[in-house]
Amino acid sequence: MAGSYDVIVIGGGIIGLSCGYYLTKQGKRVAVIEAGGFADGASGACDDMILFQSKKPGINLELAFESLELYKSLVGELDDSLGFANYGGMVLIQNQQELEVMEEFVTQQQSYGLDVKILDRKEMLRKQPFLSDRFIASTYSPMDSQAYPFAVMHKLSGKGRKLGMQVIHKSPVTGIEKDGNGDYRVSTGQNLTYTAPVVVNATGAWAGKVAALAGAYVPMEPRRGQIIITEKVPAVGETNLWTAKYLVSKLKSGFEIDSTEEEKRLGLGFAFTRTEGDSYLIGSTRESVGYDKRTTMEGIRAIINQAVSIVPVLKDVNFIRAIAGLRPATPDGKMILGEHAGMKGFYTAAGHEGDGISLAPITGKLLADMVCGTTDARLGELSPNRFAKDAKEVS
Amino acid sequence: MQRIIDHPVLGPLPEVKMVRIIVDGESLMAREGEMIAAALIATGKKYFRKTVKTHEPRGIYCGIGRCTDCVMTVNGIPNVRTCVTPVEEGMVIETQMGYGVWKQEQ
Repeated sequence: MAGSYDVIVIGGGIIGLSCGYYLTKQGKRVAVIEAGGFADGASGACDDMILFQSKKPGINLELAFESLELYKSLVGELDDSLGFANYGGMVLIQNQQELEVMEEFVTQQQSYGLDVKILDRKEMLRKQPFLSDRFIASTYSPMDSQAYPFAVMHKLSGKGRKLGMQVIHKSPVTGIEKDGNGDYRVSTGQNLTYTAPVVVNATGAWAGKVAALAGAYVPMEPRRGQIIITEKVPAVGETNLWTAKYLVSKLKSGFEIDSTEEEKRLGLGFAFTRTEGDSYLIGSTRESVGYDKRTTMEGIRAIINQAVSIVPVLKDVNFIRAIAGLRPATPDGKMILGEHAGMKGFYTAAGHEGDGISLAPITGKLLADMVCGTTDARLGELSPNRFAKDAKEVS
Repeated sequence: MQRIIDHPVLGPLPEVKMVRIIVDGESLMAREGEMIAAALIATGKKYFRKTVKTHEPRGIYCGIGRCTDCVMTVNGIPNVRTCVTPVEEGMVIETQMGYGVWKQEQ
């Protein structure tokens, strides 16, 4: 026996730490149990975006607004800048077809309260003078922001600990079972057992495996995202950048985009964000390769070629590092947040894929509210029980 | 002029072709094939860049392309390591302030 708590959070990435922090703030005695070390999973190998423009109007966009507000208050609460910045973002459009899809999308987003508009070529070049000639227009939103994931995790963990939260590293969970009192017994690879009436599964790409230990069903696929990091360079334009190509293919199913076999296999999309340290994070791939989180020459080369073709001045910039993380992907592109039916006290908070950094604070807050008894009607569509039918088919 | 003309071990400096380089607008001569940093030290230039936050002067430090202390803006490209980049005829070399700036393409 290693200890009993009110809540055990499994997974010490940005989602687990956020859940742990907000639960602790509500007076719960919390242990966060992490299989590896600090920032070992996807939260330590991702970019830094709090991105609005990529989100479909609906719950994801709505929660992103709330998460941004939470980030702003966390800056004061955690007494750190958290690398929070607001450079705004542009989605680059290269032909008429893409423009039509993006115009429609932007109109929908505007109706949801997002400050976003289409810029013509001249306005686009004013903000981004170093772009390749092939872009005809772009979107622009001053709301797209960013935060430095390591600082956020470090401070959530630090402030949480001050309030009594325990963060336990190097403890892979090997078993979850119920004891005679109805509490969960969570055992780890070090032959230690922790007990609590509530368990939160915040293990990202591993959420399916951890849920299975408790007999619960969570459909989760790892998607490998590779990113390269440049040396420190002068700013290239005013904003962060994405291309419409990937977004359009996600928005319009059946929309034929012109991609090479390699681009399709790698799931290549362009994301370009300036870090607090004055380097750029350039991404990204979206690959289905199981739990292999190595970087590859093919991936790095494809990211570099794409980046240089979009922002030609990058040909004279060195990249100093490449990282890869496993983004947790759900079948419907929405995160999983809620209590499992028939398993009182067993919650999952995972499956953010590329939105983990944006949505971490709101996920932690909503989870803590749920555990403490406040229900939010909007969250039905995020419930793990939406996959119950698939679970039966699997078993 | 701070060039070693007669080295006690390596002997006298051989004659080579000279090239013209432009350093902060001033036209100077350099030995073909030598590194930018060597050419600048030979002309007595005291610093190559100023740091981002405190604007302190920096020059050559490791001399083998690792530390990036000697970077300058060369032909409009910022952050060029001058200790491992050879001079070329007509090269435009500028003292870099902070990270420098990208040259706007017309």
